[in-house]
Amino acid sequence: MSGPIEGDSICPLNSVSAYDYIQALYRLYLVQSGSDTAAERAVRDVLVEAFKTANRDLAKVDFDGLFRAAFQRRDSYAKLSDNQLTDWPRVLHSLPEPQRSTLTLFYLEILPLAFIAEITSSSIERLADTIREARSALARARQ
Amino acid sequence: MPSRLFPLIRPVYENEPELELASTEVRNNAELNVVLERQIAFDNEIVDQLRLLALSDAQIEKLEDSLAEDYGQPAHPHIIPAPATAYVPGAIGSATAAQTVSQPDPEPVDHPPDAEKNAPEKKPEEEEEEEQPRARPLTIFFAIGVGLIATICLIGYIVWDQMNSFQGADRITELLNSANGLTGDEFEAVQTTTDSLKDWFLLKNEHFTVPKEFGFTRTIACRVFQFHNADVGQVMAKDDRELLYFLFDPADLGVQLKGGKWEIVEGERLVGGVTVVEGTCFVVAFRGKHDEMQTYLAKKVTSGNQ
Repeated sequence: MSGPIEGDSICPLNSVSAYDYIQALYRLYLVQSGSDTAAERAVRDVLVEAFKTANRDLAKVDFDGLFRAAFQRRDSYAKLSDNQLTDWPRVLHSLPEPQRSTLTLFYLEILPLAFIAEITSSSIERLADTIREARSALARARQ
Repeated sequence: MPSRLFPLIRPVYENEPELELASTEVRNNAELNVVLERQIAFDNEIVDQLRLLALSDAQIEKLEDSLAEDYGQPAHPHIIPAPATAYVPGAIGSATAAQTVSQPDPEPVDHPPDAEKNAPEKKPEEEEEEEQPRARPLTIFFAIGVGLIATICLIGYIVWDQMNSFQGADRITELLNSANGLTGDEFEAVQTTTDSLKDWFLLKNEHFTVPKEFGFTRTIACRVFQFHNADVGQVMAKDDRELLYFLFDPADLGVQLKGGKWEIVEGERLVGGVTVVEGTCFVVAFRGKHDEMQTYLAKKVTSGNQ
């Protein structure tokens, strides 16, 4: 665990399995890239690397770090007009960065807000502003 | 006017310390509460659609294979949680909590259909099959290495054993052991020197030659007896110790030894020094061990050459 959300003070009752983290990571990559193949490959690449770093123990994989890395590499995917996404995920994909990745992290509902703020390098208030703006942009883009 | 944190309020985040105050404020304000519910409804639609995007079971298995293949994972890593672990959609966690015991989310949330589809319901046989550990390449190489070293050692031992032995050594061991039950009555008293035994053997129709190193030892008694259908001359002699000589045609007992070379053979009680001289296999034996015979022969051969 890294960042200010260390320990069980935030969500002591909730538990997220590696499966949930991987699915969430896949969703983030999918929204960023617009391609399920690219997303699957990205998940595999980062997970294999993180698995090695964790001495090949899935329980020790730093999934938070994987989300941070995915956010940091958010601009490495070109926006695809003919992407494989439909409906809201497609609209999410069309948002500019960092709105796209920040709002997706928020909607994944797998990371604490304090950690999302940390990896997006903003305060909780600034995160709230970004979410408000991104949500409005999302609603506008849908119309 | 709503709090600045209002956009962050969602049921799953409401218990977070940063939001507690803002959330209570909004929940206590009927007007804001309506706006919040509208916001939550809007967000729910997106969250639900996002949850439909999921890696299939086959993709997850492929991913597990990639992890297992990487440097040879001893045990197949299981990404799909075991059936005992409750799936908690909407739960917020961290990597450290990833493998902890699950507890149900107090708030009921609909399971995303795809996630449910992906949730494992594996047959016990499949699980057993998956749980079988795979050996790391390092372990395999180590095992092969140990096997190779053991084989090389075994071959080395066989070669060494053959180099330190000769054909017919077993027969000589038997011959030495055959002397264990002798009482002395079997012999004919012949008190002379070994060198002079030639004549005695000639009388017995045998043509045995004694190595020159042993030509001057005093004999006590002699005999010729049958051993595995071969005529063997046996001599009791006295040097600095009691000795027993055996003389025979090496071909009769299948002994093959380079002429002049000495070999040592150990029996149950006796140790024998074996050599072949002019077509006669000569064995000098006494009670003792290999090292004693080695010393004895070294001394004897050296003194014989001088």
